Amino acid sequence: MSKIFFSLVLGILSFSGPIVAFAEIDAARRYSISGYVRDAATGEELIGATILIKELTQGSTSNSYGFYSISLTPGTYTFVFSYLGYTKQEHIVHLNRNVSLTVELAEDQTQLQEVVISRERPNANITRGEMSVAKLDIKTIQRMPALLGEVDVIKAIQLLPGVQSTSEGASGFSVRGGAMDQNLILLDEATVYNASHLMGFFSVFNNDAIRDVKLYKGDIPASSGGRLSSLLDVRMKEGNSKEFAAVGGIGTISSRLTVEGPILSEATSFLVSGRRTYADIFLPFAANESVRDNELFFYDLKLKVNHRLNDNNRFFLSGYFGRDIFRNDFAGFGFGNQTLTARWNHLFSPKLFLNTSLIYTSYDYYLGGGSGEVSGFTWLSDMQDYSAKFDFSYFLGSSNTIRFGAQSTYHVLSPGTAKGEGDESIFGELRIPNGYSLEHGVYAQNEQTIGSLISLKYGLRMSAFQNLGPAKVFNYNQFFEAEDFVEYGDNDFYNTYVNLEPRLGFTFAFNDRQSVKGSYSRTVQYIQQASNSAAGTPLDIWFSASPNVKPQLSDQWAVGYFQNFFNNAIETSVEVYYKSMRNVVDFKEFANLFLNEKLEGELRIGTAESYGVEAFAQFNLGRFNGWVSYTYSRAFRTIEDVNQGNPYPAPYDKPHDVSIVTSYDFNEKLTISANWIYAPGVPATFPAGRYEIMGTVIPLYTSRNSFRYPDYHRLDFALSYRPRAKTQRKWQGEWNLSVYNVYNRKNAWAINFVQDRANPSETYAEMTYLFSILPAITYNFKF
Amino acid sequence: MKNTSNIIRLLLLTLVVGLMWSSCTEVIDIELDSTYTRPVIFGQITTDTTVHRVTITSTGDYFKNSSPQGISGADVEIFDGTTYYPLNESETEKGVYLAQPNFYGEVGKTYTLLVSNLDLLGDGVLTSHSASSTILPLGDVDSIRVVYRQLWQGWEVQGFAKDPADTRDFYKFLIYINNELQTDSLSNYSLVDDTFFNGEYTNGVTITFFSDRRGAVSEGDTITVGFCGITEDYFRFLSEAQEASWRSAPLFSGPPANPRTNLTNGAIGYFAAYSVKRASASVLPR
Repeated sequence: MSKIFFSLVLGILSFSGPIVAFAEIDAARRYSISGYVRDAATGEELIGATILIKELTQGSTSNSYGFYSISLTPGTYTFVFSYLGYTKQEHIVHLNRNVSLTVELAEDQTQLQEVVISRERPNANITRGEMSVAKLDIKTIQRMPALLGEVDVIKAIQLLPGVQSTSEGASGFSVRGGAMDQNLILLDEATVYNASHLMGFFSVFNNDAIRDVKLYKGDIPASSGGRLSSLLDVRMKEGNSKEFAAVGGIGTISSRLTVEGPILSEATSFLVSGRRTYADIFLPFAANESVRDNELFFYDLKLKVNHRLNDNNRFFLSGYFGRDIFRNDFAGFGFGNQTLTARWNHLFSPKLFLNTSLIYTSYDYYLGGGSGEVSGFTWLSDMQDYSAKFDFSYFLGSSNTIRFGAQSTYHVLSPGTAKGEGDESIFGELRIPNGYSLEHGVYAQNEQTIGSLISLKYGLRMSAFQNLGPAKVFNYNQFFEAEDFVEYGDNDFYNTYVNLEPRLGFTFAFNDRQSVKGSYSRTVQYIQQASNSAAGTPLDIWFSASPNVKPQLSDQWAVGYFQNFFNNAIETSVEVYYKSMRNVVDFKEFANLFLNEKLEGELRIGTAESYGVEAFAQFNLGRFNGWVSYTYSRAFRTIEDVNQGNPYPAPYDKPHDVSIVTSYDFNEKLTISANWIYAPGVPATFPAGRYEIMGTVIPLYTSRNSFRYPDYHRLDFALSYRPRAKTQRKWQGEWNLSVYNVYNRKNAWAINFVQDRANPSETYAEMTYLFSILPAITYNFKF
Repeated sequence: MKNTSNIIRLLLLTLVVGLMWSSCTEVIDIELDSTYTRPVIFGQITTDTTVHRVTITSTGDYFKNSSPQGISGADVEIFDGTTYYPLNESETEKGVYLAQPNFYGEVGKTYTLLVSNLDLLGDGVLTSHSASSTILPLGDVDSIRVVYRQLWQGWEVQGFAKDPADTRDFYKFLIYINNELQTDSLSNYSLVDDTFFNGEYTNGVTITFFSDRRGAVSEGDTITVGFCGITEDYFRFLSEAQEASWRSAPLFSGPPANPRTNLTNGAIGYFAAYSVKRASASVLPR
C-alpha cells in the first residue's frame, strides 16, 4: 500500500519540474518584489495582509504562509502594507532588480480613538476577489461572551450569516443548509474529523494558540475539496520568534496555558499550548449519587516548531493531541483527535512559492463496560488519513496569481470492532472490516485583476477517488437487502470515481466602496458520516464512496453586493445563493448504523437544494464594535424512500436567523460585550395520532419534519476588566465575567411525547432544556 | 445488533446524565395535526396452551387522552395451513378476540391471522386484513440463576442456554416474579439478538436486573424467565415500537418514525407466532 502512495508522491514531485522552468520565462521583462508580512512584536506571519501599489491602485495579499510577491515593470512604486488592527506602512521601492522586502507591522496602539471617521481601514472586503468568506479576528472572539467562559472559535462562527449551530451548545454547525459532515475543518492543513469536546460544548480549538480563522461558505478555492458545504481553515500560531511569552487562563471549568518563544535564535520558534477541564472536581458535590462517581474531563495539547533555514526555506512541524475521558463504575468512554503536519515552504524564485505538507490525522473512540463480567465488552473505532500535498503559488506580473498543486490522501476507516472483555465475557468479536481508499486532487487556479476594478478567478480541480482492497462489497436489491457479495484482494483498485470541479468567480468594484461579486463552484464529497441524529455524538462512523455509494455533488451559485460606509468603518454585504446537491445521504427509518457490516443497505440517497439571502453589517467604530447578521434560508431534501418521496425540510432548515454581536470599550480597562441570537426552532417530526399496543402508547407519524421546535433566542453578556499593568512588570491580567442566557430563556433541546406513568391513557409533550442562566468567571494572563 | 445499540445508548445516557447537571424538563403545549383513523391489530400465538388473544382497536388523536375503544363484530380466525381456528370476541372486553383454550402453536408451522368484516368507523364500510408468522425452533434452555450484585445494588438474573450455531436468532424474555408476569407491557419487554454470542453457550449472561430501589424482589421469591424464540421481523417490530415510545434526545436519535407492521390493507400493529421455554430459580440469601 505504502508503495503505491509514495510512487504517487514522487510522480507529483517530478511533475513540478517543468513548471519551475516555465516560471522563469517572463522574468526578464519584469522585476518582482517579494517577502513576508509579519507581526513586529511576535514575528508571526500575517495571513491575508494587503499590499497596495499606490501608483497603480492595484494590490495583492499575503498567502496562507504570510508570503507575497508582485512583479512589475521597472520603476519606482509606493507599496502600502496594511492589516486589520495594525498600523500600515508605506515603502517606496526603486524596482530595477528583484527586491526582497519583509515587512513587520506593529499592532495598532490607538484602538480607543474617539473619532471614528479619521481612522483609515483597508477596504479588502470590497476589492478582494472572493465572496462567501468570513475571516474572524481572534481578538474579537476573545471578547465574546462564552458558555462557561470558554471562548471558542466554532461558537463564534455560528454567529455568522449562513451558519447555524446544530443544537444548543453544540460544536457542530451547518453551512447554508448543509449537513455537519459537509464541513472540511482543517487545523494547520490537517483534517479534524471531530472538532468537539464534552459532547460538543467545547471545540478542539483553544483560542490562545490560534492565529487565523477563515470560513468559506461557498466560493471554495480550487486548492481545497472533499466536502460539499464549507471549508473552515484554522491556522495555529507559529510561536513568537522574538521573545519568550506566555498566555493562559484559569476558568470555571478549565485552565489553559500557552508558552512560546525562540529556540536559540530568531530562526527557530516553538509553541506549546495545553488545556484541561476539571468539571469532574465538582461532581462529588452533585446531589445525585450516581453522578458523583463519574470521572469526566478532556485535555488538549498543541505543539508547533518552526524553523527558518534561510529566506528560501522554512520548516514547520505542528501537532494536536486531544482526548475526552468519561469513566464511572459501569462504563468508560473516550475519544480524541491527533493531527501531525510537517511543512516545507520553499521559494524557487521570488515568484514561485511551494508549500509541501505531509499530514497525518486520526480520530478514534472507545467504549467499554462491565470488565470482568460475563457481559463485559469493548468497542473500538478509529480512522486515519495520510496525506501529501503540494501547493504552488506563481506570481505572474502584478495582475495574475496562479495557484496549482496536487494532493493525495490515503484513508483507513475502521468503523468498529466490538468484542467481549475479560475471561468471563461470553461475547465474541464482531469486526466491521476496514475501508481503504485513496483520494486525489489536482488543481490550477488563476486570480486575475483587470485594471483596478475587475478581478476574475477561474480554476479547475480534478478529484479522484479509489476504493482499495481488501474489501467485501455487497450487492443490494431494490429492497436494499444484501443479496450476495464480491471480495477483493489486497491493494486491488476495485472502484474509481473521477470528477471535474470548476470554481469561478468575479468581482467588479464600482469604486473603492462598492462592488458586486459572483461565484460558481462545484464541490464533490467522497467520504461522509453515518449519522441520522440532529446533533453529533462522538460515536462517528465515516464511510466512503463505493460501487454502491456515489460521491455527493454540489453546485453553488452566489451573487453579492458589498458596500462600505464611513471610510470602511462599516462594512455591509448582501449575498444570495442557490445550491443544488446530488447523491445526498439520508437513512432509512430506524436505521442501524452501529457495527453494521451492511451499512450501505441503510442509506437512502436523493437530492437536496438550498437557497437563501444573507445580510451582514460589521462595524468598527473605535470603542463600539461588532456585527449584525440576518439570514433567510431554506433547505430541502427529496429522497425516494423517505417521507413518501416528497420533499422535506433538511434537519438544519431554519428560515430566519439573526445574530447581533457587540462590544463596547469604556476605557482601556473595561470592555463589555453582548450577543443576541434568534432562530426558529429546528424542523421536527411530531405525531399526528397515537395507538396502543399491550398498554404502551405509540405515536403515529405522517410526515417528516413538518413541525418546528419553539423559537430559539438567547442573550449572552460578558465583561472584561484589565487592571492597569504595572510598567515595570510584564504580567498583564484580565478578569472575564460571562453570563450565558441572561434572561433565562428555556430553549428546547429535545421535545418528547410521553405517556403518563400514573395515568397511562394520558399523553403530554415534554420539553428538555439544557442551560438556564449560567455565569462563569475566567482570569486570563499573559507575560 | 439492536441489543448493542441499546447497551451503547444506555452507557451514553449514564455518562451524559453526569454532564447535564443543569438540564430540566417541563410540560409544554403543542398543537398537533390529525390524521385519518387506521385499524390497529395485535396478536401473539405461542407454543403455550393458553387462551391466545387478538385485539382490534383504532388510532386516535395524540392528545385525546383516553384508551382506544375495541372494535367489535369482526370475523377473526387463524389458519395453520390446513385448519381454520375461529376466534370469538370476549364477552367482557370489547375488541378482544379469544382462541379456544386448547389451542397452541407448533414449531415449524406458519400461522395466518385473517380479519374480515371489520367496521372501523361504524359506518358500514367493511375491510379485511391478514398477517402471517412462523414459529421458529428455540435452542436448549438449561437454567437461570439469581445473583445479588453489590456494585449495581440489586439482583441480576443470569441465563444459561445454548444458542443455535447455524441460524441468526432473536429472543424476547418474559419475566415472572412468583408466577406474576412483569413484562406485561411492550415498553418493558427485554430483547436480544445473538450477534455477539452466535452458537455459544450463554454462560450466565444478564437477562434482567431488579434494583434494590424498586424493591420488587426479595429473598425466597421465585423468578421465572420465559425464553421466546421470535422472528427477526417481529424482533425489529418490537424494538422499533419500543424506540418509538421512549424518550429521545437529539444527540442519539434519528428522526422518529412508525414501526413496521406485517398486516395488510392499511392496518397497523403486528401478528406474531413464537415458541417459549421457561426456567425458574429462587432468590437466594445475599
